[in-house]
Amino acid sequence: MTTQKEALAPTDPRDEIVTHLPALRAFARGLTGNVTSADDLVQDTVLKAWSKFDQFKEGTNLRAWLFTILRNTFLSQQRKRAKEVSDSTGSFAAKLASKPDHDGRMALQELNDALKTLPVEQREALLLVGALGFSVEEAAETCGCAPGTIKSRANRGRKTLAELLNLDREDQLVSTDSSVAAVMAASPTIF
Amino acid sequence: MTTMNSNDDQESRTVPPTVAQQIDENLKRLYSETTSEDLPPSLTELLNALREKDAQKKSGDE
Repeated sequence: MTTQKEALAPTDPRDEIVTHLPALRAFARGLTGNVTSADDLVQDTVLKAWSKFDQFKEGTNLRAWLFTILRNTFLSQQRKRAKEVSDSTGSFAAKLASKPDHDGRMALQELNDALKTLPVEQREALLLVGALGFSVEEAAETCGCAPGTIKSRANRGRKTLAELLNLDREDQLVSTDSSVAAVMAASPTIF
Repeated sequence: MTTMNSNDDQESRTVPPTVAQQIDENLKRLYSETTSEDLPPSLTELLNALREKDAQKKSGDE
């Protein structure tokens, strides 16, 4: 019994936090669109989490708890900086000429650019559910909303991405355009 | 405020499942490098500093 108890004993969130940092960094990059800002955001999140660990309930979802802190920190920073943020979405759609190749691979740079144009609610839903493999329920817990809300935000986000990247037509899903293959072959590191 | 009650709404706001899957797979590709990267030194140093501070506090309490 003792061994079983030990195996089931919750780990200290101060130790467990490190296992969530890679995904937190990815989420932060998706939200900020910038490596430096993302790492600053993760640092702020770690500091806040550390000061609030006494409020964390053992046995509850640490990942969702940490992601919520990061999200709230980002949103409050964004509100503060709202005036400085420039909107680059205007001529964006016209610049895109993305097509997936026959494997359904698309140019990641364009996907990344398109993702940045989405409203933050849709972006975070897609980042959590699409990119990081959260369940709809866990994403809902993270964002403090209903699972149905996450589903519809993710769906709206996918719809917009499909439009921006010209994925919404069946014929383009089987495109074998060689220029796309060339783009993919030279696919840059995004971050 | 928007509602998602009617079928028309659902229809106009969703993409075919194959496209949805394609988008999600590519989003995973986009972030897979980040999630497998080593943590930056600044972050590991921060964690070490916080742990050290906690340890000092503990020994101070005793």
